[in-house]
Amino acid sequence: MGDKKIRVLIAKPGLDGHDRGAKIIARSLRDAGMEVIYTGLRRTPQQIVNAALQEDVDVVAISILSGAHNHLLPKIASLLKENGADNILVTAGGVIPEKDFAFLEENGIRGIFTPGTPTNQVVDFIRANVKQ
Amino acid sequence: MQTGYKEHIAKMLDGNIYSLAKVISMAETDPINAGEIMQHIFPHCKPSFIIGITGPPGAGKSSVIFQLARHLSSLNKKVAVLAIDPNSHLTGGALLGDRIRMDDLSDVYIRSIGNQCATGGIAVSAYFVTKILEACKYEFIFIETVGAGQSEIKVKDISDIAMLVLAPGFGDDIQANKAGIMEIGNVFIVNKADKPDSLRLEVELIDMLKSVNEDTDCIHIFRTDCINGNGFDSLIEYLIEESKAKKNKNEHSKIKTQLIELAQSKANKIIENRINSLTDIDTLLDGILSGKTNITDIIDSNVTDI
Repeated sequence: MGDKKIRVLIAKPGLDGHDRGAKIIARSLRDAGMEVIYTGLRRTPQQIVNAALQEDVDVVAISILSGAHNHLLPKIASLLKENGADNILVTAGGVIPEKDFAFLEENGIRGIFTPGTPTNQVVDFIRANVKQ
Repeated sequence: MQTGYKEHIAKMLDGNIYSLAKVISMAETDPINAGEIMQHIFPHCKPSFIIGITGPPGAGKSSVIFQLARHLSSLNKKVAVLAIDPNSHLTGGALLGDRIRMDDLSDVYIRSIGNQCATGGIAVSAYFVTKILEACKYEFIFIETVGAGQSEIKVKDISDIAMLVLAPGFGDDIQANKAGIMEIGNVFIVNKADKPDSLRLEVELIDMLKSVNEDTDCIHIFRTDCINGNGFDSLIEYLIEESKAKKNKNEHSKIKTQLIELAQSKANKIIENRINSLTDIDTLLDGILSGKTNITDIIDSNVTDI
């Protein structure tokens, strides 16, 4: 009690049904002392943003393997901004080709983590970049 | 003390969800020092009906709440859910997973909080969170406890009604829950009613309740099935009736419990700090172990003014 914990929403937008990576990240962040909320599969950007606002999270960590990242991720970042929540750190993980990194970064996605990333790298990135 | 809370409270009262979430965070992070924030909250509170839901893990607490919240929301009631899950004693981290079973409730405010390792199945801050939701004119507030089974009766202290969710397939779960069942109240939900064993569970439950309580008229048992959405109409009807009768009847006992609890946790911290900062603690401890020092004297000298 007394310490504000880092709160993270793990979100799976769109139509891919594979959340093993999301669950591994959820556990790693939990073990790093963060409070992790998982939305479950196949959520729309609006549902994810609603959950992020209701839960007052510091980070929205999006897992996506469907290839629709260029469409769905900027939508989430812009909806957060519309609701006055652009202080929330938005990160992404999953199958995202390097050629798309620049576009996503221009559209509000801060950290991008591809398969094989050690989990402590994600923990360190969040601790270093979160605004509380 | 948090800064900027007045602005958030004003926006929250105007219906801004993100500000509501921020105010809850402020009260939740440090409930002992949330007094100033709460002074601005209490005058706005409009009595709501607070429903505590407890039961063993996997019995279907989240799924039952999802169904109830959906029904009430479709009747144009303003509904909020406070879902409590455990924090790790080792790292303080938590996986707050109740939300997964509550998708597609766009009009319902759902907030997951960690219990901050408190015992009794709820967080110390839960009462304040219910008051903040009352200030925002939520009419029905569900509190989902940590699912551990036995000792979660604390939710009763801050609810207008407490319900126990049970499901078949937990072996001699009723036996294991006996103490808890007697104390939680008189409303029981036999969930997973689509499973054949659920009838047996219901019969066992009635038998057990009869064995300790002669007056079984006041006991309510509802059979529900979240997969097909069956059994909720009568439960909703019952909750709406109860909400008219029971709303905020025991406000004094609720705030008194909260007051005692917060004062206790503050006293705990003071005592812990004092013991840890005793000069020459190792000699003192050696004295206790060797029989030279009386441990009761040490206790008395550290708590006399608390």
